Amino acid sequence: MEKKFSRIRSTAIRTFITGFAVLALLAFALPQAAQARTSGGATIYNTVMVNYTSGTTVLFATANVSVTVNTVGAQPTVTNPVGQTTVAGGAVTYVYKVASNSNGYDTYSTSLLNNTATNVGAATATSVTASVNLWGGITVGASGAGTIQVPFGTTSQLTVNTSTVQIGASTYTVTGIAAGSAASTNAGTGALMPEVPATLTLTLISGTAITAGSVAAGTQVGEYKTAALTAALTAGTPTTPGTDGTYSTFFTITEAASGGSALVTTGVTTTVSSPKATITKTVSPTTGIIPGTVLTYTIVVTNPHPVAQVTNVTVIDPVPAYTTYVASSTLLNSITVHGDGATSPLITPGLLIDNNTSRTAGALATGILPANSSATITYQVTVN
Amino acid sequence: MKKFIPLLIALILLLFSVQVFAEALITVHMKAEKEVTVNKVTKRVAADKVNPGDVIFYTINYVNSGDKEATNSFLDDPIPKGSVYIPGSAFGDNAEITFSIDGGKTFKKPSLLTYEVKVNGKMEKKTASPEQYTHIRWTVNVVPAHGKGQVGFQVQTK
Repeated sequence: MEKKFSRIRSTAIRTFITGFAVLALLAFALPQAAQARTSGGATIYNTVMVNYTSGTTVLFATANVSVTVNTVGAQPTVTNPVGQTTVAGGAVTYVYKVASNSNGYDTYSTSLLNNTATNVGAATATSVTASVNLWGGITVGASGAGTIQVPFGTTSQLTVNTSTVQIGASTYTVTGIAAGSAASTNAGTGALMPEVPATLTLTLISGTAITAGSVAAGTQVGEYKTAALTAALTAGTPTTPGTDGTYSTFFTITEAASGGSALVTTGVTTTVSSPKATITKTVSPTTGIIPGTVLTYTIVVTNPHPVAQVTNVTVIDPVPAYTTYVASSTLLNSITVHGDGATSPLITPGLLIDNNTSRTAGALATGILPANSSATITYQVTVN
Repeated sequence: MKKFIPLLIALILLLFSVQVFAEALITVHMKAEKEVTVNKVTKRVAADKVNPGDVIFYTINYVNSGDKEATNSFLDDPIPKGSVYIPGSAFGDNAEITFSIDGGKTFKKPSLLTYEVKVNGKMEKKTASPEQYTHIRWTVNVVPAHGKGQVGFQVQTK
């Protein structure tokens, strides 16, 4: 590519102009760090017409060339769901919203799934959706009433009445797509036939409806999905009764198109309840005890956990030395218990209890103490 | 036989004129390129795909393959949509380069490309910036028989 310089003066002028062009290039180069301003998949169409006269006849010739704009990778916006509480062995599923910040259609892939455990065994059956596809685009021209325009040929991945997009904080359903047409050169006149952009009709879901001029040219529009990206885990067993365990679930999401960077999501916390029952025992009377005195023992078993129940709760309490059990004196929540008689039902293997105050007299208890509940057991002995 | 001689001469003259009546015939080719740097060496390659912000180098070669010179020759190029003209980048051998900001109706040198806008109720004259250029024109005037030339310019992808 040689340029002939016929005069030194031309060279000097050209050098000055080139220098200015370099400066201008730098000035133009600065905004590159910001959002790409053209849709991925857009066509830049250049046509040139040479007009000339041969004798008395006016003629023309044309040439054209097309260049396609790349999609540039951009970190998506991932919105975390609310953390859940479960029990040992409980299965939990999290559903994320993911939105595109890119100028074009791209595939977002997940990796490095973490379920960091504290006070609980490792989570099992952990999974996260492998990848999500999202459309993106940059508007051309100002918006119309309920419509925006994007370059021709960049809308094939959108589905009418299914795809949802967001512009800033507002969300819309794509309810119409008019394809537009490609730029071309008129063979008869040599003139440019400009591209007709694609028009998207967007129906408001939440936020601000689109009106004429409300969305400026060069605005990024990103598809979002609310059910496509999910993570799941099954909780292990808390390591310490009475101390809840937690998992922090996070993963990395990367774009297929180059130019972007990986995003590590912030952790979603799963709480694994670790309830622990507490027990107190009192006796009455405590003074003036002589042989023949009847002592009443009161045992209170409490499950203080705000959420989780405890199961298989059994109370074992041997008959104190130097006393004789008073037959059938055991009461659970003031109701007679199963298996009572001459022998205390509290000696090994012990008495299954619960917090039920309406249990049928003599019926077996369930062994379940729900969250925030207690059971009261009383029995009597005679001092030997 | 004598009657046919004028007709014969006319025929021969007609044949002759077909052979010596030359025409200008210009064809034009355009290519788009971008610069890539590999191992600190920068070179130009065909631009099939570009990133937003990339510079596209357009080079236009024209050839007059005819036997007659072409007169009143000029090349017009609408600046491609989706790109911005890089000021000072237009070049062309023996070409006067002018620009349009009114969709190709009028062409002027950059310093003469002005428009008026109302500022605080008063009309002010402003010089157009390259983002407002709509067309480039290279006025070559004469392309000799079997002559050729090259023009070009750069844009930055938006």
